[in-house]
Amino acid sequence: MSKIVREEGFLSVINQHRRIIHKIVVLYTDNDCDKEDLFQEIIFQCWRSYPSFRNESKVSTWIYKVSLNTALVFRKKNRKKATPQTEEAISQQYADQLSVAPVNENLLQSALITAIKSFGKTDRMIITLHLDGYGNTEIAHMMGISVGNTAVKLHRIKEQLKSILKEDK
Amino acid sequence: MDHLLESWNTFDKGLEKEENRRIENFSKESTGLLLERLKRTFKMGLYWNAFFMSCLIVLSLFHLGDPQILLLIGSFFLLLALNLLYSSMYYFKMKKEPVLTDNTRTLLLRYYKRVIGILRFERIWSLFAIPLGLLLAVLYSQLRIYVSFNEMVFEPKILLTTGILLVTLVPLVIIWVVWSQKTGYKKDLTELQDSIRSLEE
Repeated sequence: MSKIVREEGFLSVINQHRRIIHKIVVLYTDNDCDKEDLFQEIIFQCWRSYPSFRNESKVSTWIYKVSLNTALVFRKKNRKKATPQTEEAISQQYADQLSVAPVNENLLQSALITAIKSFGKTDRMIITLHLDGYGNTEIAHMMGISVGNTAVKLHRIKEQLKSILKEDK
Repeated sequence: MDHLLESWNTFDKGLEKEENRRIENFSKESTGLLLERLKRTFKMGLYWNAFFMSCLIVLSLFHLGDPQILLLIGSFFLLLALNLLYSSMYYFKMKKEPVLTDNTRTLLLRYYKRVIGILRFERIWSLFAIPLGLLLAVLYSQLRIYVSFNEMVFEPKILLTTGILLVTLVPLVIIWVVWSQKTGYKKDLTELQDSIRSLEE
């Protein structure tokens, strides 16, 4: 297969699933510059691993795996990382907003994304995969941990989310 | 959790609406991964090694009639050649390694191991190259005066200078290498360790 044909095939696959990459980029970066860099880095890493992709898993799973792994080890040289907000701060902010406006979709969505971004990189990975419909076995397989461990972690993350977003209220 | 799932799906759909831009081209060089940056530095080190070897070949051409100097240059050339061989093998082994398609835990462990490996390589190289380079320079300058190793007599002044350099400059350079590695890569390594630890909890 010529390089041009291979590149065209690759771009077609990536374009079909580029939303996954955008999602990861939003969840793992804090500014536009990092967003663009991580986006490019993920595409490059997908391109590198493209020859070894043998359709043994779904294309979306492969892109997910490469994107999340890249986001996990991505770190720009000499760039200060924004300090993530604490769970209490996010929770308080959300409560303050609720006190002046009724619960609405935008508010909840924004609070959810902020809450996910406040988690550690691996926890962010677990909740992202879970919310996108991956089962515990698939998540465990992708992360190289036991199913039991995945379930425990997921339960803990969900509890944290509920606590931040005061879902029980 | 249903509310969250709804919000998540809205967020997901929002991305589809917002992002209409098709990807037409992409960069074929990594910029944001520590390991890729280290690999590039490592590769540069290999080029420098080859450059020094070439310099020694050129230097030896000026001393074709001096077997003692040729022996000295040859010994150092051999050391550099061995380093180049071993480092190249390590570099190509790294280059062949699978990319980011492993499971996360395996990837992180391998990634961490490689980063530590390259940094160790740099430290060991500075430990050997600096004192050896210094000794070579002293021996070379002495051989130019005294013609052979047997005739060579070290003047106390030269011995003292060499000793002072070895005792002060060499440790300083080594401390600097260790310090620059520590400050330059500490955050990256801590983040990697944290991620690995969080998967093992």
